[in-house]
Amino acid sequence: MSNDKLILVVDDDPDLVESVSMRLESEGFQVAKAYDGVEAWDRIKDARPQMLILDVMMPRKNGYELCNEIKNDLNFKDITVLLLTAVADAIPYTTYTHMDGKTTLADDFIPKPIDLDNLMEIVKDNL
Amino acid sequence: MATIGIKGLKISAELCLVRLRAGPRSSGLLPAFCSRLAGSQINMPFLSAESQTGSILVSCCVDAAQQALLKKVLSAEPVLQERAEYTAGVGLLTLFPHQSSLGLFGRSLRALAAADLRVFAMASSIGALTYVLDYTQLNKAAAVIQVCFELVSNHAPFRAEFTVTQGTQLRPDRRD
Repeated sequence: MSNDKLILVVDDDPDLVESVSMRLESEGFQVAKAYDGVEAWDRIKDARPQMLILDVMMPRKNGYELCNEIKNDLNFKDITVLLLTAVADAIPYTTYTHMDGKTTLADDFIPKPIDLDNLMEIVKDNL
Repeated sequence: MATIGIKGLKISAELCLVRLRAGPRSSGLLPAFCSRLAGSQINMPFLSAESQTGSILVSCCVDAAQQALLKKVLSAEPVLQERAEYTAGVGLLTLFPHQSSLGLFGRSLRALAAADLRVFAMASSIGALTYVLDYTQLNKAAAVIQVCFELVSNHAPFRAEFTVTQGTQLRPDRRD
């Protein structure tokens, strides 16, 4: 099955980027990769993906910042953003708990650790 | 020599390395070790296990702040305590993507050796190649690697900016 949708996977964990990308490619999606928020912005401008799978906690520019920049940019606000968040119920003290992910403009959320079957359902539901 | 491009270099926080060696009939060593750490909610940023002529060598890194807890946890299990060797003050240098490139492995290992940088352990994974090095030498190692690989222009070696720890306490807004 082939699919002309381009999905950009952004995470500072290269193993997570690779495993998610392999699953998306096996389902026929085109995939681009980036490893922090700054690099992701460059890839977005170059390739204009239909969807972002975006980690929250990243160096240089975190996922919340990048998500809000995308959603406030008239040229890119239609890109679907799925936030990967490890700031789950049982992880109460991280740098980012001051800002609940649900106050961002993301279209949906994928909890970490990732269940790849669940991830594919969320991806398909949002495209 | 042809240039090899890499997308990123990642430098960890300070860690403690623990190594466990065991003989051929110690297949339960790794499960017992992992079970003990999981039970005490100790994260493992690095874990590798190798088998040579039947013997097993497990190498694992934990956050430096959890070194005392790690020793306490392993001391409760005699078979783990007697086999554990600790090395404080190590860190991880991770190159990515790896994609099973022997050229990346060979060239990076040679560069680290040429700079007299001791490699305590290494492992390749689906997306990355990771070396366990002296924590105080990580910046030097990153500089050495950047001489022999081409890092993409919009990326610089980055350090971990946060540590996620496990806990059982719920956030105030998620309590029933």
